[in-house]
Amino acid sequence: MNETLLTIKNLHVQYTSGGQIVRAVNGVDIELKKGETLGLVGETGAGKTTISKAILRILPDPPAKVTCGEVWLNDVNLFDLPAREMLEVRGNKIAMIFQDPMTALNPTMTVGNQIAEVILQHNDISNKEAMKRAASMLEMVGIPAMRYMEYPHQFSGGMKQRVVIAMALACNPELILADEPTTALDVTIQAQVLEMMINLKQKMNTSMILITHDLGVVAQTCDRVAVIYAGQIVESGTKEEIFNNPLHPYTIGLFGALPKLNDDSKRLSPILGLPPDPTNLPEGCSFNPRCPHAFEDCTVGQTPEMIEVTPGHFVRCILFRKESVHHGISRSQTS
Amino acid sequence: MWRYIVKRLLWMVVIVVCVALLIFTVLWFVPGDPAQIALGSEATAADLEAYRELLGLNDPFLVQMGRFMRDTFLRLDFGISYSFKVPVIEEFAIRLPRTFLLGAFSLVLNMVIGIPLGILAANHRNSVIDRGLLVFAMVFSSMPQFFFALVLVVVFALELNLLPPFGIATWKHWIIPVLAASLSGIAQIARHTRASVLETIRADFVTTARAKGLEERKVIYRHMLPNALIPVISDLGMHLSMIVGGSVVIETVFSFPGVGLYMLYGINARDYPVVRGCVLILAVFSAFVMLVVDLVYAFLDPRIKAQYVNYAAKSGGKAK
Ligand SMILES: Nc1ncnc2c1ncn2[C@@H]1O[C@H](COP(=O)(O)OP(=O)(O)O)[C@@H](O)[C@H]1O
Ligand code: SF4
Ligand SMILES: [Mg+2]
Repeated sequence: MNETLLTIKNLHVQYTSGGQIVRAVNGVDIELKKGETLGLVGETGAGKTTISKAILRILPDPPAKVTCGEVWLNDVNLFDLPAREMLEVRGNKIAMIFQDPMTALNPTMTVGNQIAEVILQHNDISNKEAMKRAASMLEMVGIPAMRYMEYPHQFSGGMKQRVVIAMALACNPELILADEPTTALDVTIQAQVLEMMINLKQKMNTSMILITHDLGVVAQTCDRVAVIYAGQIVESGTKEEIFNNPLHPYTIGLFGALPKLNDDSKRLSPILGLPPDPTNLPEGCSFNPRCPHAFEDCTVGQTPEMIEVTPGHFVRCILFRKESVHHGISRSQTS
Repeated sequence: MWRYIVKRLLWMVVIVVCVALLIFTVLWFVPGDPAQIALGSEATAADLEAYRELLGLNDPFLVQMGRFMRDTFLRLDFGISYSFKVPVIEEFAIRLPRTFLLGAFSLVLNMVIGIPLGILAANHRNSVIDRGLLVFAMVFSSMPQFFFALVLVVVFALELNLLPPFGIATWKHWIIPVLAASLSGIAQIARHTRASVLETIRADFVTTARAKGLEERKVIYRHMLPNALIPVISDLGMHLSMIVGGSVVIETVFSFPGVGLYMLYGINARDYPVVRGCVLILAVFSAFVMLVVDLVYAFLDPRIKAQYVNYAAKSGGKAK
């Protein structure tokens, strides 16, 4: 549990779109231990999907460009790997579960064969053996193996997501990147799919980065939480710290009426103001136009640096600089 | 599935019968007298009358139509050409294979040139190749077919003297007609393929395929192309009917003795059996090709196949 599996250092990604530069990810650091689940929370457009695709190096280039950063899996920097060796990482050591199960599967290939394909790609086994394993993966996610030869259109959304999950788990990856795995599903199915994912993950002792909008999901599944805003992590810490003692004004806004950790599913509450325009990020703290506590220092210079307020609890806000505490919001005011 | 095919075939019969009624009626109202044209301007009124009587052209509309429908559909007899004095069906035996071959070559060229060109352009988006292709596509899909048929004749036959300008004596005679019949189809298919590939490149399931660690080759040939080409294949039916329609033009320009040219003679001579026979045979041919294309489409796309199966099931039969 203490060994580090994944380290992301200073990741920057930008898109070029219509002559403009979209600064989607602006210096993200993430550390993930073996077996750990990190919840990545933030509004649409914050850069969550971009981060996970950057880890797998499947960003569309053009328009996307990783301008800076390192991604270490164990002791290899994935960004230094030759393309050939990167193929062996994808789907095998790191697997991704995509946001929208309706479009993530190939409509002209049977679901069984789509699972068998990834198994065959990474294991030195016969076609027949791969098909057998794919069938047992289907059973594992609760789909009868007899539906192996069916096509995605014959499956409901929840079933499709199960197939996607089976595909992701098929090669026993060390790391799963789950990009809003339940957002596109019916509320009734969400819990089922999530529970199944967590069980399987625990059984296989896989690490996971779980991207989600749903604080209930975070409460249920994550060990640590990172809150992302405008392509930067603005607060990170253990789940308990973040839920019970949120510090960053954005996090506090997200949590709205401050749900308790054992509250039922609680969605992110909307925050006043518009999400930032990534082609034209404000100077200083990116959150300053929406921040109820912003003052002059927030609108100049670089974005604030991460500050470790208590061991393991980081926040990116000037208020927590030692010398500016007097401007700050005291705990009693905010919680 | 079989139920669906049978149903489609029955519909085809209905459509062909309608086409027969329509073409008969249209020809009835078209001015011009077959007897006058056949016998020339020196013929006496009595001669003309006798000739008309012989062909049964003096009978009332419904009697003639009834006779035509009976001969065509119950006896499979298209009649005897007024001007050639040869049964239409015998001419078909010789001419139909030629027109069919011309169409088949043209369709094959459409696919084997148009599709790879489109893929190439999509893969080198906005490059010189891509731009060139777009210009090519625009020129050839908007220019009338007879025009570049003539250009081809002038350049390759008359100026460069490489190829014979008309007839079908040797395989060399086929080159210009096939090219002329294919160019606009190639251009359109290339354009369509390009658009479809560009759309599919961005599809989520292609990203999924990449995330599996597949080599780019497998991503393209197993996941991207089969999906990108489905809409292109479904369009081939349309291209084929265009080729069939265009055969009249191409055959005329190159004096290519196929069904199209036969039909044109027939129209000029008010040779009703010839015109009716040609129209019907082309209609059957088009309808049949459409059916085949639909079936191929269903075979490639499981979603469409499911629709057909459901369709059959809903209309009361066993699925499959
Ligand atoms: N293909 C693309 N081209 C241009 N901009 C993009 C593209 N994909 C994402 N972006 C931009 O990058 C930013 C981050 O997007 P994304 O990573 O999808 O966010 P999230 O997953 O958090 O919703 C957004 O502003 C989005 O508009
Ligand atoms: S740095 Fe300033 S603007 Fe940014 S979150 Fe802190 S108080 Fe608000
Ligand atoms: Mg996203």
